[in-house]
Amino acid sequence: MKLDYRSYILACLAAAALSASSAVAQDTIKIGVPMELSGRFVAYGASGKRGAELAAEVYGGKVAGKKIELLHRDIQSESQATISVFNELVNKEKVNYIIGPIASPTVAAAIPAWRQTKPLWIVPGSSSTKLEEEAGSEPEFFHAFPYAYHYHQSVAAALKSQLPTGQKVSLVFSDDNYGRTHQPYAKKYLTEAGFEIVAEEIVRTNAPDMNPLLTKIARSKPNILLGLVQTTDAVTLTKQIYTRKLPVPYLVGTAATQLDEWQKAVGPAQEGWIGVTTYLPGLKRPGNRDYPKLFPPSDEWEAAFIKKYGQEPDFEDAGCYVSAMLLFLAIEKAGGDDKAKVVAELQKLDVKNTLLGDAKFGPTPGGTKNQAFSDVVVFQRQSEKNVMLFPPGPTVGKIKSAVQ
Amino acid sequence: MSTMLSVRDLHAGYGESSVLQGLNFDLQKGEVVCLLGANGAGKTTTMAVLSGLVDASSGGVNYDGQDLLAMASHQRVEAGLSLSPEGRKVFPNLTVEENLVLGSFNASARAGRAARLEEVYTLFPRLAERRAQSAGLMSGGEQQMLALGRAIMAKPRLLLLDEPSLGLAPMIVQAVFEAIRKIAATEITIFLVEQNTHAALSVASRGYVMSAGRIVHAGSAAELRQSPEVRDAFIGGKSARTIREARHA
Amino acid sequence: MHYIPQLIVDALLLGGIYTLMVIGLALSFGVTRVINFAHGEAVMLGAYGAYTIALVSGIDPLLALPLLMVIGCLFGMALFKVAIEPVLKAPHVNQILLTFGIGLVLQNVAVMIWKADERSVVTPYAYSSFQFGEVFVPGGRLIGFGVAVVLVGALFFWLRHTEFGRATRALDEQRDAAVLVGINVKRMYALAFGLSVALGVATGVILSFIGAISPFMGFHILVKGFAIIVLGGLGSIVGAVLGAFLLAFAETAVSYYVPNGTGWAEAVAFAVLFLVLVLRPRGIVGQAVAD
Repeated sequence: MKLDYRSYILACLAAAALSASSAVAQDTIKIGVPMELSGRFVAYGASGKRGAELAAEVYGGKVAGKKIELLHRDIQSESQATISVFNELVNKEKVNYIIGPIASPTVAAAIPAWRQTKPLWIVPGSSSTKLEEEAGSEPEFFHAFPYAYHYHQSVAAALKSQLPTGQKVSLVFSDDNYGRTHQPYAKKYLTEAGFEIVAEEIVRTNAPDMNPLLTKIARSKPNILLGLVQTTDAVTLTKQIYTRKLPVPYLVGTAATQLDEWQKAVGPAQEGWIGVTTYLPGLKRPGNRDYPKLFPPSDEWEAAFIKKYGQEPDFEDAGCYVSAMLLFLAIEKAGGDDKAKVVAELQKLDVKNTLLGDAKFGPTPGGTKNQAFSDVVVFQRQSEKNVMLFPPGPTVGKIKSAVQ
Repeated sequence: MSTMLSVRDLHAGYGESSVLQGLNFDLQKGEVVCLLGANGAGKTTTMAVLSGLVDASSGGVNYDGQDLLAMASHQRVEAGLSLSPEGRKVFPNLTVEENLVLGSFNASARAGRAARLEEVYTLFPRLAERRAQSAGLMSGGEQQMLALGRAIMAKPRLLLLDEPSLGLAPMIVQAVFEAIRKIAATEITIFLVEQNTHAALSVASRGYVMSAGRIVHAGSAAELRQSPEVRDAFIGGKSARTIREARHA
Repeated sequence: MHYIPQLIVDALLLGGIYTLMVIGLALSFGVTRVINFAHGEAVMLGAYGAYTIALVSGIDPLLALPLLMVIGCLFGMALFKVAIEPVLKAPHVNQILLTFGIGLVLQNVAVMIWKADERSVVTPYAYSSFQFGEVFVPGGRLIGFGVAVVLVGALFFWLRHTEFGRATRALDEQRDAAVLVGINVKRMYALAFGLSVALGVATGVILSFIGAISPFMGFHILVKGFAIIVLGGLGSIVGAVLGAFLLAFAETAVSYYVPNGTGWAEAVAFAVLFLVLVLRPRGIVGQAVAD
């Protein structure tokens, strides 16, 4: 018996020694953060990086006893660079977790590279339904952002809640991937909500003169104009509508309306434009009672953000903050760097009242297994401030006509 | 008499082909000299090299004490070397007057432009009549007068004329050479390339004959006029055929 | 049919903008026979110049216009001497690649300085408009049209009535004879190129308050400019002006009368380009070009 006891202690010591050495060799948890840090979508990527960093800091820098190591990479808003970065993260760094990128074309470019080892992939962006087709059914894929049809369900519901029935809608959409994917959903949900589509005009990206189509639209006397265009086209459309004093009371844009750059570029023309986003300062979300430090009330979080960064947060600051936090929670619950376990925990998570709303990943009718945050906020620019129009709640205001 | 132009061992060509194979000749101040030769002998190339349109590959040209080949085209015009090119090359969409005014573009010629313009109009009354017309719409003879007038507007000291009779009817040729004679009466040195030997020798005091990129014969106007072999063999015509037939007989 | 008065107004104003866009290109090609593939970037930099001046000092783009044009001209002349003069005798493909490369470099410099998001200058007159019955005339574009008229008029005056202008026309028509009358061809080329850049910059300044600007806007402008130049006739400035208005009318008419016409606008430019190349390669007014 003495012999057995000693061997037992020796065995324990040996096991302890072995596990200690492996702990030394692997005491960080690597998370890939590929973002558009330059190029066309730099506004999104810069926010994304910031959100993830802030989350790591607030969480305390360590998860499941190990140090959080965020591997930030610049995909330059280019497909080729995205593929190279993903290859590096997946094959060389062998990360188990990736957050990002954000823009639809870059996310699309990453899919084949991601498939090589299929790390846990949280995409806090891309409304493209093609993404759903190609990656949605994979259990390791988590979409933390609405799809185009979610957008338009909410827009239709928002307009319905604020306006009387029988409104006429005119649609302007760009002749590219963005416009062409959004247009059928806009039509479907607006029609279902009781609106009549009276005019539709397609516009080539970088069109120098949208006046002819505006003249044609004016003739059908719509109450609502929905502009499914991006970047420079959004600026041109807004300016030309304002210059000709188009007699359409309700102007709906999509992502551009919330962006600082659009607002600065169009100046007074922004008044009355309605926008759609996942998050906006001033939402006054209550915060989560179980994790008050990680998910404080949105007012508190915004104040802390402004104090630290000197500017207001935008939707990708919040989006990537929340996505990173959820990942950390899942890793904590899984007990460590075990991809399969973390996937399972992330799927099970149910955290109410994060900055983007209730966090629960579930299936969509379109085939995504893990979808969260499909609700969008609809707001209107009134006197250079954001007024919430939807979803209904205590902070919601009244829609205003853009025509004086 | 002092030397206006001195050409030594001049070689030049286009791309791979070499056209001038070592040209040598002199021009004295105030002379009227003609350069004769068959098509392809290199006469126009010679003019092009002197005016700077084409670069020389080797050799030297001394122009009134200066190294001509070291000067850019516009500098040569500034120094008083002016070419009326083969084919006239008027500015077609500009008026006659604009063409002439452009002739005096270079700085030293701008002073006295108005006076010289009147001189040209006196020399070529037809141009005065048509001063507001587009140059491209004029007849060949009128364009030749215009090209000549334009070259004179540059206040030249050495006037190069390349084939002024080309494509013109005999009566017009007479009128053109009448004008050249008048110009020749001034102190301007004239170097004249011509296929029409009769017209050329009517105004030049002496001439050179060129063949295959070299000067092969030189002589006074009188000598060249009376040398049937030289004249006909290189310029072609009835005598040349007779000589050839005689040889084969 | 009731669109016609508005159509005419829209087309005229668009034509004015197109003219500005293209006239510099016509000048530089007509004189130097080099197609400047970086012309779109001259426009882009003019737009950003106006934007930056407005941002930093609050000076209106129209006031900054003369200064920007002068800077553009000097820059263009320097660029010509340094980069383009050496390749004047090179094959056209080399020249095209060179100017295209310069354009790419300028684009990326712009991205580095101003980031890639879209900008625009907000001025009071940019949003003004006039209503004549059913027809509406936007103030910003009207001003752009006015600037185009002034600049084109000034260019034509310069060409007709000044020494260098006359020399430029001569060079345009008959290069050899221009050399023979003592025109310093290299200096004229640099001047023509500098002026063409200045005109491009002017276009950019106008676009800065009419629409949106981005570092990549140059490419579309170049493509359209090229179509117009071919339509009007390579090397002819008058042709370029005619071509600009013709294309503006064609595009606007298509926008109004063809369903989804605004989506076809770019196609119109290419269709016109194709037709011209097939039916009348020298363009409306242009001279035949050997290559």
